[in-house]
Amino acid sequence: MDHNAKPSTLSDQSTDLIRQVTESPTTRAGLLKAVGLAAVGLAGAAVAGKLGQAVPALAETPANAKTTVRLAMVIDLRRCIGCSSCSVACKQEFEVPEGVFRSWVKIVEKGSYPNVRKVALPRLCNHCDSPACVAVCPVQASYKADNGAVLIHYDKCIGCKYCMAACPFDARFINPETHTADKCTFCVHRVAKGENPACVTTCLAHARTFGDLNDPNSEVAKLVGTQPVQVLKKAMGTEPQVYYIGLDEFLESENGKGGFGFFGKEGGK
Amino acid sequence: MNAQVIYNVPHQIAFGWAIAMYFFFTGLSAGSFFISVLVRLMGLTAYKRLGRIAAILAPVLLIIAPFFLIADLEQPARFYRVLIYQNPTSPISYGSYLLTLYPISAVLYAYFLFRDEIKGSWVYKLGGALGLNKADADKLTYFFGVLGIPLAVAVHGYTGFIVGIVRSRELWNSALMPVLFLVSAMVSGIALVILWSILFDRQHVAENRDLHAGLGKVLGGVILVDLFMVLCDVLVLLAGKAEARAAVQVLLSGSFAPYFLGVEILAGGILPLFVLFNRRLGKQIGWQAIASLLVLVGVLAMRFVLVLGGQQTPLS
Repeated sequence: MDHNAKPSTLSDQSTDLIRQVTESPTTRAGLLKAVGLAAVGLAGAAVAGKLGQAVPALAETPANAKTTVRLAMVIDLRRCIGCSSCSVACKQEFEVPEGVFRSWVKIVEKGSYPNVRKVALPRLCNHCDSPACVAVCPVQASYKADNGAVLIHYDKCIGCKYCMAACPFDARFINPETHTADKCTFCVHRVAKGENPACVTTCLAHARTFGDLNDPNSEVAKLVGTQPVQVLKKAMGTEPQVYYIGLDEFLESENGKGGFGFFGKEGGK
Repeated sequence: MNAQVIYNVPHQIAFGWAIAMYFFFTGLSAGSFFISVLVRLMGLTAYKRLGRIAAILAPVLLIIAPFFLIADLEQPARFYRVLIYQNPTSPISYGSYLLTLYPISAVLYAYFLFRDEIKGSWVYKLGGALGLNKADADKLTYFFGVLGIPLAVAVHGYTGFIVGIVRSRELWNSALMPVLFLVSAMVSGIALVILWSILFDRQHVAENRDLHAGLGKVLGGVILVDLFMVLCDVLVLLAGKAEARAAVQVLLSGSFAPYFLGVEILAGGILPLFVLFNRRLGKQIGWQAIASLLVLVGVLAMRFVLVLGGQQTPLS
């Protein structure tokens, strides 16, 4: 892994902290030193420490370089048991109204009797690097935040629903209470506190991993770097930042004769 | 294919009937406007009267159209923001400027076309107060007619881009869309002018049956172009990716088949063609009226089939 990759931080809080205790890492040794120092500082902050997976990035930037965080999630479908507790945690976190979902689990039955298997696909906004929803928003209400999350200025949204029509992943909906577009926010309010998103914290199978892809030491960066990860509808070219392990198997039919329609048949609404 | 979805959450449909109605009205307006200006620019004096009807219909229809858009917003009171904020990659963003400019141009075109006949009326006085009564009406009619054509193309073409650029929806994501929208706009515009003149200008129509039969044949010709484009679209989708084939099956054998095959293609396309090109029926005013009405219903169905039918295949 390239240790000269752009260093980054997960939250503003940790950024400030790290600035105080590190120096510019121009060499590999320097970077490691910075990482070590920052880790010590963070342990003291006791914010990130209690959440094993949510360890923020740990290196200081060269003086004039832009600090970049690239939030991402990895979902290991081999671990997912389809319990939908992620959906429940998300509902609770945001008090998502009835009938709409920021996070949900699609359950599919595969094979034919007696070789039948149930598989689950947890879903959320993909927080694409090239988001189709942001491209079509006529009033700049949808935007790609600096940390990589795709977010909505709720006070700017006019509710034209073009983003909903354009999203290839059905991630968006109209919130029946606020009457604007709404969707998963990657729990940026929790991330700012150094916590993991609600769905990640609650996942009892530890299928979800969240963190900063630009931080080579983060769990997500390691998983994306070492595991065969896939994204949904890669051909759409939106560059999703929710990665799946085992997605190809999910999409394939049991007998191996081509994939079944991930998109489903008509009437799925 | 041994896989079956046993649980999934429902997803809302983004664009509803109001968007389809909006497309229908902008199409009618653009189509009427083309007819009016073409009659004038090509010097088709025989059709002058029809051109005048179309000149009035165009701005009226386009002033109605955006109300469907605003009514469809979840935050209607924030509609003005589309003019304050811009996003060059969003057709709704740049389209809102076209939606503002085109009706102004169409109203001015109609005003100068009729100016010298409405002297003394309140409209004329209003025009005078705005300083519109000094210049040469003929020249300005020409000017706003010529200016209006690209604006009318843009204002209806952009609605085609609204759906055309959505790459996640197979039925929409086609370069044909803006062109198909313009052709169907011509279809509906001509049909509306024919129907309108039969209903409200009966005497003139009765005296000029051949003229109307001729316009009916023009309508038939444009319908043929429209049907050909729809055929191309369907054939390419049928040869497309799995999602494209699933999307077009919604129209051919799925829940929208009655509206697509029955209303849009058969009732709104093929039946009117038989009437309009029939030597006997094509000249009868009653049959012309029926054919134009069917064509209008067919184009309306096309808007609904495209907007709602295009969102029937689930994306997740």
